[in-house]
Amino acid sequence: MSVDSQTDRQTGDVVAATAQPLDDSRRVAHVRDLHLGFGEREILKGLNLDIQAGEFVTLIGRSGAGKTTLLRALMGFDAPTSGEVEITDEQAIAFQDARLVPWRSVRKNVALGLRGNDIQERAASALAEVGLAERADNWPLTLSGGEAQRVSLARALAREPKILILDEPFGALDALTRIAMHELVLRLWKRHKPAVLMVTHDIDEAIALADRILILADGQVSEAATLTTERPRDRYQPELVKLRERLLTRLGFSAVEALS
Amino acid sequence: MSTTSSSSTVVDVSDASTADAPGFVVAGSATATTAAPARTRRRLRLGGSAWRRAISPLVLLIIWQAVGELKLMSTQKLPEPTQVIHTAYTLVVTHSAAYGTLQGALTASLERWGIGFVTGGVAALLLALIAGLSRRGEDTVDPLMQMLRTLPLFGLIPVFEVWFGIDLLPKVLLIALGTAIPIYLNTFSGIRSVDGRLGELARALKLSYREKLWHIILPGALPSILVGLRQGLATGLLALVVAEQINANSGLGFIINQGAQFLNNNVIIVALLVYTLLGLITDWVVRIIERRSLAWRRGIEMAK
Repeated sequence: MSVDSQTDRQTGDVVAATAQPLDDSRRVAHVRDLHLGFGEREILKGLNLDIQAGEFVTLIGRSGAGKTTLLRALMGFDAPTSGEVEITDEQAIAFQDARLVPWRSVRKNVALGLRGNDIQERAASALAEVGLAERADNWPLTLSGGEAQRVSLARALAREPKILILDEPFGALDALTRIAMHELVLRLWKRHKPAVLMVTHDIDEAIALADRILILADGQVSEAATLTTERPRDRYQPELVKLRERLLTRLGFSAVEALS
Repeated sequence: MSTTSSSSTVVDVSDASTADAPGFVVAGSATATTAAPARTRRRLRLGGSAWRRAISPLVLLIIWQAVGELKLMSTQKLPEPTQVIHTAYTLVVTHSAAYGTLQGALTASLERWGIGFVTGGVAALLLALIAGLSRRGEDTVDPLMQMLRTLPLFGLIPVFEVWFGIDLLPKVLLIALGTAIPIYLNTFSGIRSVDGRLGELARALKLSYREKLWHIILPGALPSILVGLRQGLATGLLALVVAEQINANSGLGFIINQGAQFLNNNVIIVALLVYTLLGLITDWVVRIIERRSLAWRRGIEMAK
């Protein structure tokens, strides 16, 4: 794991100096030297990643950096060319497009694939947690984008995962809804304490939510920052503003480029 | 953690947004109240269009009747509607040596159609499942079905007569084949065109094969299956009409044949109308099934 030394010096007490050493027994995901490509094009080039139980990790990267490819490898959808991928079986994912089954009611969507006893109760309480208990019998197509995404979160949470994978879950939502979703995700995370791996292209989102921010670039993941600030975070706090600028620079983004 | 001047600006911002909030609420409720009347207006308009759609068929009926009344055309060639109704009534209440009864003919026809439709439909669904759900199944079943599809259905009649005689079997087989082809084609393509992202979801949710089939694949293919069902019913009916005119001694086709022999167009038109009625009724039944089973789509259709 490479910790950017420049980041370390600048972080101060808000952004912790070093990443905590990883404890093997608490690990819920472990990726070593992962290579994955399609045909000639290699997208992931020797990628390393470790996620511990209960931590909130966000992964940022420019579009086309391979964020989704990495998630697909973690979910077992795409087999790696080489390298190891280990992840706990107790995983759940919320997709960017919510991906509700349109011909099953909201309640059935949440209950779909649940195992064990009192499936209905678990589905109902997950829906109640995201504030959609009263929509349980509606068709998914009658939901707004934000509501659909909340159902998708409820569906993932009802599985009581050890790792919750969020694939740009709020990318398609408007700014106000997104802020409400951040609060919801934090609340759910604090209550259930799954590890979260959230992929996003939104740096502010990453700063608002993460314990650890990782950057995916050139087919590799590097450690960008570890944050210890209490949530909810004030994004105008000087340290966080600085962190934001640093992250933008590391993503190879300049103001000139942003305008063009 | 420093909460200094920067956090006070944050408070200002949130104050401004709460001040805006009532405005949002008003706007929201305003759209909600206008939405409800819009829906009732739409329903009224649909009712109105149903009436408007009834006008042209009614006018046609009146012209048809007038043609007969004004002796513009021989009533032997084109009996007017009232005469057709009278003939239908006579066919129902009296048993004639030439035609039998209308209800007797209808029963015989329905029997052929029913047997042919059920066997053809079930076979088509099973074959489409085999072909749709596995590569090997597709490689085995699909070439044969594609060959059958290109065969001209009614060109088979003479061959069927040689192979299966002239009784029930060749007729039922012809109807079954006519029903099966569209149901197979639509079901197969319906299964294959289920959104791949939902397949991924099934993997992510660790659904069993049965759950995936029941919750994802079959409901996803259902719209296509229903299109196939409708086409299959129509083609099956067509096959019934053709099959019945060959060596039949009962059924609606037999009535038409007899009518042609006795130069009785009244009877032929009655039989044709009964065929039409059968088509309309089955179409109506499928529509009801569609409305029930595809209710989840209504959200989009309403919006459009």
